Amino acid sequence: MKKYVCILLMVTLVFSILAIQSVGAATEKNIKLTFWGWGPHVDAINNTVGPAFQKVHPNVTVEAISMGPWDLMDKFYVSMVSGEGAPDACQLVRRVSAKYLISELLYDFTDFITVEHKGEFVDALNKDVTSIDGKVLGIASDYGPAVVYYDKKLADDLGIDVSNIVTWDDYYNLAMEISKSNPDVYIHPFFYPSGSWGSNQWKLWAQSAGLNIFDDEGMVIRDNEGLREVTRFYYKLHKGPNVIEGVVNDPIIYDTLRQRKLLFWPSNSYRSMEIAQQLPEMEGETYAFPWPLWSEDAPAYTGNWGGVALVVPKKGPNAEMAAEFVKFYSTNIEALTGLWFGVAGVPAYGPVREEIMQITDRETFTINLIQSVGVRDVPTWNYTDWAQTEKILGDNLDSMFTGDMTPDETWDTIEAQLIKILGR
Amino acid sequence: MPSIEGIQYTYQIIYHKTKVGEKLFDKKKSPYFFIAPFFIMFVVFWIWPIAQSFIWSFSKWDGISEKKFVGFGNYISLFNDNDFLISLKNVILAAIVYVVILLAIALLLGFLLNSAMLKGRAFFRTSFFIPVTVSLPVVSLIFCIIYAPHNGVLNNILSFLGMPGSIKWLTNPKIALWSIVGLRLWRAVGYYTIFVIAGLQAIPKSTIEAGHIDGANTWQVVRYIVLPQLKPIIVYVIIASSIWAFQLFEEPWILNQGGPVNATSTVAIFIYRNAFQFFKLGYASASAYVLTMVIMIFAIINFRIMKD
Repeated sequence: MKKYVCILLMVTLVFSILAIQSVGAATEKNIKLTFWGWGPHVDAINNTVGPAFQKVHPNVTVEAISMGPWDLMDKFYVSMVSGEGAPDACQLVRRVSAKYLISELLYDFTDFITVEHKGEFVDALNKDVTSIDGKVLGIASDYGPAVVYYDKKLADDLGIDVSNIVTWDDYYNLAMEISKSNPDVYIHPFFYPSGSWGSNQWKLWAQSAGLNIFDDEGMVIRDNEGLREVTRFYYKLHKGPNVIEGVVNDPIIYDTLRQRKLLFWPSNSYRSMEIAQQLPEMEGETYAFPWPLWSEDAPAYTGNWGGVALVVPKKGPNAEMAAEFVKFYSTNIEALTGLWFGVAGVPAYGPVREEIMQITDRETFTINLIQSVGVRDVPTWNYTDWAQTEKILGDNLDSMFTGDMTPDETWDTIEAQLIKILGR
Repeated sequence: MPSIEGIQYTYQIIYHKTKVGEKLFDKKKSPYFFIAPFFIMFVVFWIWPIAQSFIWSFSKWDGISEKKFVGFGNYISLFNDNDFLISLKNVILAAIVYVVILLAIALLLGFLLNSAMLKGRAFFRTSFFIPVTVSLPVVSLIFCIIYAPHNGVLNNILSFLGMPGSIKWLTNPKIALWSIVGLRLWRAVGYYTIFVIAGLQAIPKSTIEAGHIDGANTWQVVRYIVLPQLKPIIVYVIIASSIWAFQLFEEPWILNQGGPVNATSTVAIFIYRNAFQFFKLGYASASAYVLTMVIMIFAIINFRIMKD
């Protein structure tokens, strides 16, 4: 009898173990996704998007870790090179992300962008995250279209009606007039030394003209008369009127604005939040008008400054789930609203962008003004080898402003150096 | 908490009574066990990366695709690369000027702050040391305001004194590098002054008094007694500050990104750009080795001069 009881117990035990194992296997394992990011992205993920994603996937938690953008890029690069320590997903500075766009390394979002959400993301931005072999290896979630901010009180005092500024020629003529009659007033800031800021400032004008340095194959467009013309105008615009020199977030620029001596600031949407943070007392006195046109019949384009690329390392243990999260994040209204009201990053996802542009009940300084200006179309810009291109552009623009080269010589030198150094 | 006696007793038991203890705690071998953790870390995190980057310096590699051996190609390209040559020239010039001025000011301040005649020495020592503790982004912001061409503090002072007050401290290619050297001096001088003060305090008063009794004036005491005794400190200040000077990166990067037209570019900026922005790891490694050679040559010259 004892023998049978023992056998029965053994059989029961074995079945119990198997049953427990099968139940365990049936239950989804818990996943913790790690996201590297900066600024409001991190807050948005930890406070709203992560919990919202967890409602759809109860077994998944998302932790966003904050670090500076360039520090993040360095760490991400090292992790990709070494094959160790990469996050499940992260954001990259989009304009310099082309070097990371390698099919073997990053998750492929081509179907998501070109089939599932065809025409819903800003097409020109999708180009920024498309690899040489035509795969969309990241999601361009937001961008910073350019407008012209202005001090309304100062403009009123000077008798300026900004609605008369339609083209860049209108802007330039007015700037020269004001500089002559009011030498204490600065027309706009000018980033010098150029570095990456000045190069990207120049790019706002070049992009808004619908031009490009590189063609779709990544080769330098030879004898680019359009960009030579842009360089000439860029020189004239910053050398003619009374402008204030400074680096990108130079306190002197904000101080001049505070002193009511800075009239205009042609810049991107992100700038509005920086003005709001630096000068909250100017609420209701800083306004914006649309980026002027190159001519009255030119297309109503603007330039774009920055934005992020959301990417997922392909070889990560949770790559599929991380990709799901990134898709969720880039189309989620709460996340994108947080981004808009956090840094004035315009959502690239059309349906949400249209919805957000209707929100007018939240007092957030100049953002409402950009909403009233509207977001102009951004043409495609080819960011081929952009970090190195920025350096070449910056050095030569500096030489132009120190008087070592004429604008025409500057563009010819830039073109020649890009061809020689980049081999394109 | 175990008492000292308890630990000593346990050690003696392990050491004398067990064979394992005798082997492990052998007087000849045991020191190596104690320093092993440091050396393992040193080899893994210092020696190995240094050796690795030396190998990389002979290859063309972006970190992701296949490495391509190029022999001395990177080194040859470096000496034909205008950006690198300008960066190297900038860093050598800046280092020499910086070290000379730093040493002079640190010695002068050291003497002043060590003088018994100075009232409130602790206050002044703290004041001169404070810039060392301020974080670099804050320092950069402060100097943006000081050096600003329009309404900047320095230009306003110059205007007040009746001098030309529209100098472009950070944006004139001829001045920008020296403005950054000025910033560095402001940050570092307090730190090195502390070493000078420590050195001065280590000189026995009786030696100085003996000099005076023998008829030496103050200058002769400084020249023939104090300075020779400060020699180890001076050597340390020169070597440490010059290594730091050759690695100049943060200030010109934050303030000017190496511009305008490479006027404030340094070899460290060149290395960072090539490694982390242009993804040219082999090229960046080669430039790092050239910088190492320059620092070594500078250090050897210093040692020779001070030895003589």
